[in-house]
Amino acid sequence: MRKQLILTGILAGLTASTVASAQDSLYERLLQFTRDEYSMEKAEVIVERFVTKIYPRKFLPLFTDADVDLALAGSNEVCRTDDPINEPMEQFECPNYRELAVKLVEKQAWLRQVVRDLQLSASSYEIGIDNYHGRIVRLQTRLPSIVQIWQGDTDIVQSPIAETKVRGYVYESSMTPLFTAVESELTGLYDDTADKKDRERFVAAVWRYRHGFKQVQQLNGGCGNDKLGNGTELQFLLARFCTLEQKLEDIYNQIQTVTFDPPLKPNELVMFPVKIFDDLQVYVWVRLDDVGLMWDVHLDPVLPSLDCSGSRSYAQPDPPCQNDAIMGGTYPNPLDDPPEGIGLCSHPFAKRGYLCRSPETIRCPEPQGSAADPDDIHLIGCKAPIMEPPYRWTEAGPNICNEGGWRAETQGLKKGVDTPDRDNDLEPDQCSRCYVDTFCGQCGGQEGLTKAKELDGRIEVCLNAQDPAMSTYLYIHELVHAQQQCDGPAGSSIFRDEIIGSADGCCATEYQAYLAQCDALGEDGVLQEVGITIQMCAAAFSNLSCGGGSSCVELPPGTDSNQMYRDIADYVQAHAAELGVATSCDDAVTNPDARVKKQLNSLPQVCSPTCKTIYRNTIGNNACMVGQCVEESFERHRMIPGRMPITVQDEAFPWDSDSAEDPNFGEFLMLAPQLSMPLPPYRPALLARQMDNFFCQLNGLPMRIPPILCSFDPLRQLRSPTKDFGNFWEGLVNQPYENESVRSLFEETASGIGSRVGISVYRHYFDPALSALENMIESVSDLLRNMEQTEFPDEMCRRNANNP
Amino acid sequence: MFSPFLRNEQNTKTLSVLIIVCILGLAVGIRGHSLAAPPQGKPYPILEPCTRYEPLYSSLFFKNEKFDDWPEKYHEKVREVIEEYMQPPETIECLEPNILPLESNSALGDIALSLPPWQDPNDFAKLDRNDVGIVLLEFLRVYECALVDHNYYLVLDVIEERFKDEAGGGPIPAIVPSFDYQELIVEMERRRKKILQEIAVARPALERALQIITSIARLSPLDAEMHCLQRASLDLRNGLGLASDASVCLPKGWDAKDVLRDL
Repeated sequence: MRKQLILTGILAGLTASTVASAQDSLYERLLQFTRDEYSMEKAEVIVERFVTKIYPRKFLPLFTDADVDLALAGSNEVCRTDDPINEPMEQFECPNYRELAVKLVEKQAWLRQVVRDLQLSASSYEIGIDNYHGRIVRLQTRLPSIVQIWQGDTDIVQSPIAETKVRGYVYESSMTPLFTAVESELTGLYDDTADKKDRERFVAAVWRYRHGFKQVQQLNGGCGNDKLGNGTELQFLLARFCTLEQKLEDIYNQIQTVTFDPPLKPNELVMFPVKIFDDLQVYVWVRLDDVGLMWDVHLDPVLPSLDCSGSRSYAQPDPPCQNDAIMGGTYPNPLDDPPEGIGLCSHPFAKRGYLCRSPETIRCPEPQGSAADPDDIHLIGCKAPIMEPPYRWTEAGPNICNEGGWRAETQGLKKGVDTPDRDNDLEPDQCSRCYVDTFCGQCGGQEGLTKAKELDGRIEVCLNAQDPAMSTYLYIHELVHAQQQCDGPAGSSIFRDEIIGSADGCCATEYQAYLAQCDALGEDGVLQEVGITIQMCAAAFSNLSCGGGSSCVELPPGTDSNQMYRDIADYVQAHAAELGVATSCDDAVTNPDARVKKQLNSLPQVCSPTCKTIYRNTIGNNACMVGQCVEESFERHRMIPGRMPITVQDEAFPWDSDSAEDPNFGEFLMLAPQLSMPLPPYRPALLARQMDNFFCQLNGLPMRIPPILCSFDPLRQLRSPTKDFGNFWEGLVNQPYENESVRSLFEETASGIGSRVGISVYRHYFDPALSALENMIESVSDLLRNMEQTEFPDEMCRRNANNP
Repeated sequence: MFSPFLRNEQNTKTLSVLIIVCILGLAVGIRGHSLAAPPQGKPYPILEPCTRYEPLYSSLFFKNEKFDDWPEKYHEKVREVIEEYMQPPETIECLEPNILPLESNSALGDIALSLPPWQDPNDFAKLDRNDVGIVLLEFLRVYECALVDHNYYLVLDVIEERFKDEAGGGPIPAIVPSFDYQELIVEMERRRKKILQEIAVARPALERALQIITSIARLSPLDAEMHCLQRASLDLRNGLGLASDASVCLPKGWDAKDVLRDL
């Protein structure tokens, strides 16, 4: 009985009209789709029209659209001749003519079913990994959110990563009519014909603009033929829907008028929440740079088109178009590989994924014995040049969050304004231990120079960039040196003479400054264009500044640091306007970049009474605040009465031991180890080969090319004939079905296996990464709990051991 | 005693094998090891009966509803579960071992409670939101069994229903004068067609739906973990914010003065 059911399903294989409406749920649509597959009653309207056009009129001259369903129902009404009296049809002829119509429908239905099943297989994986906020699973948008909550603003120096900056923004109410217009335009693409809906153009429109309407315009120019294809099978892959495009453009134009506060950084992305049209199961995604459509649940593929009449196509090329029907049997022209950064790789998170990376992005040789394969696609490159310690050198103490900027503007200079000239009228306020006087001019033969801190706290920063457009980045570099000196004693040259003057000290201090500079270049997209990493940039330039060659770090063979610098400078000079950086030194000082401002704002002390400190509320910045306040307290002040700051010598007086017992909070803190979290390589070729091999093994065959040859071996039974002819005959007849069950089982599980492989890539990364984050959260939570338990004394410590 | 049977070696061997088999069968039988019987502590067997008359299925729709309503009821229940699953989870228990618990008032919980494997509260407690696949597949299995069972006893069931309709709630008559065999054949044919269609359609439809939603099921725990980490990060940020506020009070402890202070 099972076999009969299977045969019924296969032989029928007919699709009924899609009675399910757009409002139907996912399950209802799948159920209707499955019922249509098995029912024998009605054909899709598109198939109906197609069969009518190609049915040989010599058999049934009066065959019309309505006769298709009648043929499926087995009705003799289809057997009409135009002259029933003189040319009546023989009774035995009608079933044959009817059967021909059924077979024509069957073939098209089978093909459409296969394409739909392929779409379901793909959707089973893709639905959970959409890119945009508001979707069912939101991994891709949660991660940047977590990073933003944690990240301190000094991370540009501490752990520089040129992450794409993403900002979320909410729609204004004035946008609602624009979305309604898009929805109504999409609804209008349905073609209602009695109870059979034609979704071909609606489905095509959504897929057409899935990567954004601007990209379509960029690749294909202006919109000509509205809602029409070019008369080929794949016509709706390239068709344009001009009115819909215009309505998407209206949304795009509206969001261009939004003002962002704070202003957007170069290359910063802005993403808006998705707008879901529940009735259509479609959503509109909106970014600042493009607007597009996508399916809520991808069920409908763009099926090979069958209609090339004037209502569907603006051209009727022959072949394949004959009598307004698109005939099969020809292979379409191969599609070109999309250019880089187009299509799927234009989306902000997808472009960082496996499919959008070329294998050539690995820029260093793999170690011997490694399992890397040329077919593998890697998301990570080589390790950065390994800097020899020390990476950082301070005069005293850790100088937490000293380099880089993490604070907003509060107090500043008490008197005067820093101009590009030497300013003798500058005076710091009571919150600052130093102030910066920037000067654009000759810097003693160098492009930039930060002089020693003077007695009154003045630190002169000289800028003389050979390429004026590099002034901002140079300014960032020099300000890091200013920050390194700011808290040191005035008038001394420990920093300049003893630290910078030594080989290791030069590397350590210059590396920090170049990290900040190179991170800024990376953030603006310059390093990506030139093709180097931030760490490589910082290491190479540190070598240049500290004596050349490999003075600080051994770089890969063939690395030319000078050329690297030239490439960067040339790019910045050529693209200064679009990068939004100052084009001259004067401009860089008069209108400082936001990053420069942050560095200047971070010079004053954080904990001085009557001094304000403002910063973005993140875990990292809060930690900077606590750390700097504690450091300031212990380095410059005495927390226990006595003679000297506690960090300089051991207990100065016997009653120092009268202080409370050290609770050792944080002393035994188990921090998560700094593991490198390798992203597993993606091996699609290997996976495909393994699947093909397994398919052949299931059928007891060796690997064959093409693998489809493993699905059925006609010689198997012939090689092992049975003694009894009847059994032999039955074996021959049944052997396809034995392979069929294996093939269909394999087909059903393959998509699940593929999906699991994809998910396992996620797991391989997230397992250690999230564990490390969880450990960090536990540790921080313990610290906070300990801080909560700290008892502050309400009595001053005893002056000496005998006095109370 | 067995000399007639021990005349030749072949008979001896055959007899030995038979005796061993009987002893083994007896041993197994005495142990009562049957997959059709409930294991200890469980109300349902490992191999459940494929019939709609099992008392454990008493709360399911095919016990009480008319046959024509069965497909609608089944598909409606499955639709509700899938629609519910496609929405983001309402509850994420970040501090519990099961961060995506199954609520008993949910559509999925409702179906699970009606099925024998999860009628026990302890077994039900082990389910979570992402067990939508196993619950629905079990529900489908029970539905298919009901259809097959009904198809097998179609004649008797149709006649029984006819007599019950005639009785109208009262005692079932011995004879129904208006009973028409032709009507019986037509009704049987109609039901059989519907049963065949449902058997052919229900499983592929559910498998297709599960194919779509299982990608969400596989990523959903990860998404929930990330959600919890996001929340924890926000809490930490707020906690550290308070700590930084407290650290601003440190200057009050600076430079505690006494007569020996030099700086």
